[in-house]
Amino acid sequence: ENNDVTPQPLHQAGLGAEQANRFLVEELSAGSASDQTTFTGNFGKQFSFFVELLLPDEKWKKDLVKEQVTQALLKVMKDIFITETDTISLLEIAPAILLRTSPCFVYRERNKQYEEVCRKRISNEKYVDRAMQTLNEASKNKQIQNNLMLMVDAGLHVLFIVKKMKPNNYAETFVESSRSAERMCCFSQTFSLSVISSCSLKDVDAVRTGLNTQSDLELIRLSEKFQYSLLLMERSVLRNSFQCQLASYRQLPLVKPKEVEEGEGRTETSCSPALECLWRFSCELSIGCSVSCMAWNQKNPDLLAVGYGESDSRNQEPGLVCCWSIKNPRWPERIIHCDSAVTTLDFSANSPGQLAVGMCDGSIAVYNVQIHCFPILHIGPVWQLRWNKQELSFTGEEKVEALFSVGADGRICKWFIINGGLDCTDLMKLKRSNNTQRKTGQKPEKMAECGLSALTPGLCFDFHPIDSNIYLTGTWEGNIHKCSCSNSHQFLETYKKHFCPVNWITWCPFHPDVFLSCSSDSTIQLWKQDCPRPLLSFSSNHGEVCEVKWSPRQATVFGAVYNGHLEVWDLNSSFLDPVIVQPAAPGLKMTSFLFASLTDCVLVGDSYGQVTVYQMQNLRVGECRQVQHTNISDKCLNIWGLKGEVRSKLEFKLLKVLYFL
Amino acid sequence: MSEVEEIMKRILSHKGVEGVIIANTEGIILRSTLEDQSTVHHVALVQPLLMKAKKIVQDMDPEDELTYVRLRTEKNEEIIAADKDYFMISIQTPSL
Repeated sequence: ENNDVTPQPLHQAGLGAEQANRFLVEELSAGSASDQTTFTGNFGKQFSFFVELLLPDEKWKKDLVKEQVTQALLKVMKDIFITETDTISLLEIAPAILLRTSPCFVYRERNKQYEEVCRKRISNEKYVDRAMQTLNEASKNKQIQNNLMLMVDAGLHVLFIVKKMKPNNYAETFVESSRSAERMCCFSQTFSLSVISSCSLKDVDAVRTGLNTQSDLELIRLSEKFQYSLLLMERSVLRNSFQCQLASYRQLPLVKPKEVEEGEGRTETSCSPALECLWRFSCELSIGCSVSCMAWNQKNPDLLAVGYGESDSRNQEPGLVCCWSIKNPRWPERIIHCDSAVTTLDFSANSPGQLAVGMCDGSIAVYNVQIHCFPILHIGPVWQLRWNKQELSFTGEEKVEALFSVGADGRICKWFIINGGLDCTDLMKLKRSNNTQRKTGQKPEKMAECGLSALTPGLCFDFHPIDSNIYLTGTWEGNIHKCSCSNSHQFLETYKKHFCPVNWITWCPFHPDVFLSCSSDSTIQLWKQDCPRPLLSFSSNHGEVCEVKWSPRQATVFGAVYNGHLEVWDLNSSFLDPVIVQPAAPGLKMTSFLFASLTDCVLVGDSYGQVTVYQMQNLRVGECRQVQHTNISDKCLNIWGLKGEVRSKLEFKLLKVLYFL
Repeated sequence: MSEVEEIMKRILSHKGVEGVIIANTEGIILRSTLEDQSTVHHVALVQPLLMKAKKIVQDMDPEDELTYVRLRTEKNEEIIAADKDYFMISIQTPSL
């Protein structure tokens, strides 16, 4: 009956110590065995119990201490530090990076095994599927506050090229697009990677063309520099194939290609002088037009201007001027279309970009070739007749350059640039010498109507290399007149020998008194300035001589071009025969030629529109730059003796004296 | 623009030229005459080379600029014309 199940209080205030002690021990032992989970909850009580038992009189103190602590806590500000513990790594498996080519059989095997296991897992009894559940404890919300940090999004730029070969061999390429910089108030450093994942090449193409249109606009914007790059590219591509020829043009040692060394045996090492063809300047535009004149640029020795046009054809075809560069034999640097056939051209020495072009219909145009060729000045036909030739000359005193021209109307004019146009003053009128019309004198007004009555057409002229006041001019009648810029009424001297139109006159660049003239009577005459008779004459039966020019490098070498062939003479080696004779290709007529100023090359223009560059080989290089007078005089004497020409003693002595100068 | 096309045609028609690729500095291909795969390959390989070359030039002389790089190999030659905004590669098998 005394089933009193009310739990005994643990703390009995009135009991004695011993009883309490026994009681406590029992309780403790009982408590410790059973309920361990609530240990923490009762800890406080038991602790106080302990304290109470052992030191019953300290109970008061404890209470007091507790109270004191709480009061102190309220007053004192205490800092509480919250720190993070170090990161504890629970599991770390480092990745293994392997090259595709490295031996990785071990790993492959392991992968295979693993795959096997995975496959067999379903039916295998070793592996059991079991579900797990994690305890989700109640979450607590905590509010924090801090200053706002401004973020800026900076996109990065990564080019991924990942190629995955699918079974049907399509390649996927991941190309990332342009960057973007936006202000976003969120996490920074986003990769703006737009993945163009396409499974077919067509899609890639579509995307690319989309990009293309945008970048094409870029192209237009960058066009100038781009053009320059293209130009560089073209030149270097060409240089690769023309390397041999360019090297021999510039007289550099040749690098022989490997195959050629074994194959060809160069048996012919001929000692006789010959012309070796290096390359041809020709393009589609120029094919078919006949080359009429060529000129080197004074400043840039690699630049050549070529004028095309048939000067004696009835149908007035438009002419063409092409500026070629040695570095590009396939396409001219500049192309100028002219209204009528071009008969002559010349580069200015003072302003090397200016090219003066004279045309068949009597007009002159001056082009600036540096800025894509538009004519600075163009005049309407000044003369009503056909032939024109101009040269830019350099009057030494004032270093002023003026344009001179000689025309079919017999006037030699000097041109000035005034107010955007050209104005001319007459330097000389070429009067007919063997005419009764001499009495009439000069009638400037009549010139426009009947051009040929009092004056004879001038075909060529050349200024003295040293004294630029003096010039020579050759006429249709065959006379050569020496004139001066200061005297416009009289000729200083007249040289008569040719009986056909004089086609070309040129002073010798090394000897100041010697000049050459050639004419349609198929002769070339060598004259000395003060001597009314030619010193030497080179005749042939090959037809009219179109042009004759001195070589700029060797004093005794000159060349002459006939319609059918080119001749190079060397006065040092032979008087009677040319040293080199180069026949024209069948069906072509050679129309013009030019010596290269820095190398041993000759350029020949023909009626098909090609300019061929030849290199002169085995031409004995002149030991000295001066005409070897003594040798020539001896040879002259011999030849005259052989030919039996009658020469007056006076002339003979004069010549001897002159030659021994 | 037509002049550009003309010049490109002329370059391509020259003997030995295998292809011309034009791309901008980011590696986006603007024009190419080779097939896509090899174009992308070329551009991806040339671009870091160009960057390095540009850095070299600028390091040595800050006012200088890279214009032109030529890679001559046994079999062919790659001519790369470079600029700030683009670069152009042309591949040629020269006769030498």
